[in-house]
Amino acid sequence: MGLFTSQIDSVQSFVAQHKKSGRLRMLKSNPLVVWPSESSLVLEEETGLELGNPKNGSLYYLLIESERRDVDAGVFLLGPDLGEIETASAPFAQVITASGDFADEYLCYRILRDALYDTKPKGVMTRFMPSRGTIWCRIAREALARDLSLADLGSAISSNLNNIPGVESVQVLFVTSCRSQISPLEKPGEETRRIVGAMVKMNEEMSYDCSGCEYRDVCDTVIELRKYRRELKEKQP
Amino acid sequence: MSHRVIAIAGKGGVGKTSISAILAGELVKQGRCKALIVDADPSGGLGMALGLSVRRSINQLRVDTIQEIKKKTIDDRDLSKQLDFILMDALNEKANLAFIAVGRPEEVGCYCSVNNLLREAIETLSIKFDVTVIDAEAGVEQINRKVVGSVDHLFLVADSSVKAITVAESIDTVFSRINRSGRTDLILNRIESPEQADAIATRTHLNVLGWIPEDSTIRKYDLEERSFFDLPACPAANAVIAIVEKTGILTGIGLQAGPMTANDT
Repeated sequence: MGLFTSQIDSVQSFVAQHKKSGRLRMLKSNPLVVWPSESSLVLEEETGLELGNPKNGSLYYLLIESERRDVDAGVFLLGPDLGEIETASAPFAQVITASGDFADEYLCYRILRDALYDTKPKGVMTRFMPSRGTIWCRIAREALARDLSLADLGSAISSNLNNIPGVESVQVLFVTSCRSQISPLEKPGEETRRIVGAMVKMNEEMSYDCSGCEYRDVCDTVIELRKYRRELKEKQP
Repeated sequence: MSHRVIAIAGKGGVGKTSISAILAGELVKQGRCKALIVDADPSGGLGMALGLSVRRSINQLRVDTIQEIKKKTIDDRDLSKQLDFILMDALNEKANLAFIAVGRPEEVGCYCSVNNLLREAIETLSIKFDVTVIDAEAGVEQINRKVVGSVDHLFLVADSSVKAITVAESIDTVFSRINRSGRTDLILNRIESPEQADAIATRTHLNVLGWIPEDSTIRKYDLEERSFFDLPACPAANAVIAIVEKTGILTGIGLQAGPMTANDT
């Protein structure tokens, strides 16, 4: 069992369900054409497509687990790709699942999360709201004209995460179809944020008094968190 | 193209906001660069002069963020991402220009990490634009708090009053202490004649870059609260553009002088 086992189970069940229905596509990018990386400021007037406006549906989270073998690596999409979206704004979910050898899960989680934040394909401006798990992207018209696709975005994320020692496989799941198809991913997302919040609190606040802790219910549910807390406590002088 | 930061400071009521608005209007008109316009004056007149509403001020963002992190535990990297998000969401955009106001400070306790990360987020955001124009608060206080620490060029504005020149000199003293690489120049505003400008120049050690004539068009736009984006070519606007162009600070960014300059007359 890992910290996010239950959430990974939920996401993989979502993936399996939509694979079975034939609506989930696996995206392949051309390995010979790597989309350039550059931090971009995309103003409204240059925006060709907006993804993840919270009014339309927006969600992102990262899951990691050691030795998780049942997660298919690759970039998967439920819904239209960038060039197929006919509206100016579309809902967006981005769920990343990484498996590998993560001895210190908190440290590894932070490293992988930072790599995700540092993935900046040219012509894409991405903003994250970690406390709410929302993601908001502006795609420049110029990038769309040059055929930027979610395969490019997904492989940029996958490549950045795979470069981190210990990472063995990365699954990138995008949903662009509709808000109702993002909904089943929201509960595991909220649980993920609570687990990460509990880890941050244990590490940064050095408080091991559980009596008044707002994350007590999370630690009561996730056995690995209690184990993690015990290990941290033992390390204290 | 390198990033430039321009701040416009001086005593209250000397016309800083009008000059900032003229500059912002010209940057939009020419449309050659991405400009971030920051209304750092708590009285918030620049948004009105440009006809742009303040979606959420930086001080509101600060308060909201503090409320949000009281409910959720997030580390500094996530907090900085959070600030990037809300800062971008707070920008009011018009063509190649984005506008944000600092707003009035609302104290909700000491949250140094939020304050520091917010300052960093603004700097990070600012760097992505070709030019940042800051309409500073009246007086020396904001300069003292290093709000304009990364400014490349500080334009001090004064009218013909002795007090306005004294305030400009005080700001220059503080600015040169905290920002050794930035340049400072004085712009004289609402001047009646070249002789009056020359007479003022002899009373100050500051470098007088140019002067802007009293202009009824500016007064009319102010009184009628009309957007300076719609300001027609007029002597004051032409003078502002010519003065800024003279510094070369926007060379390569694309600002070019208007057809006529008051200072050349």
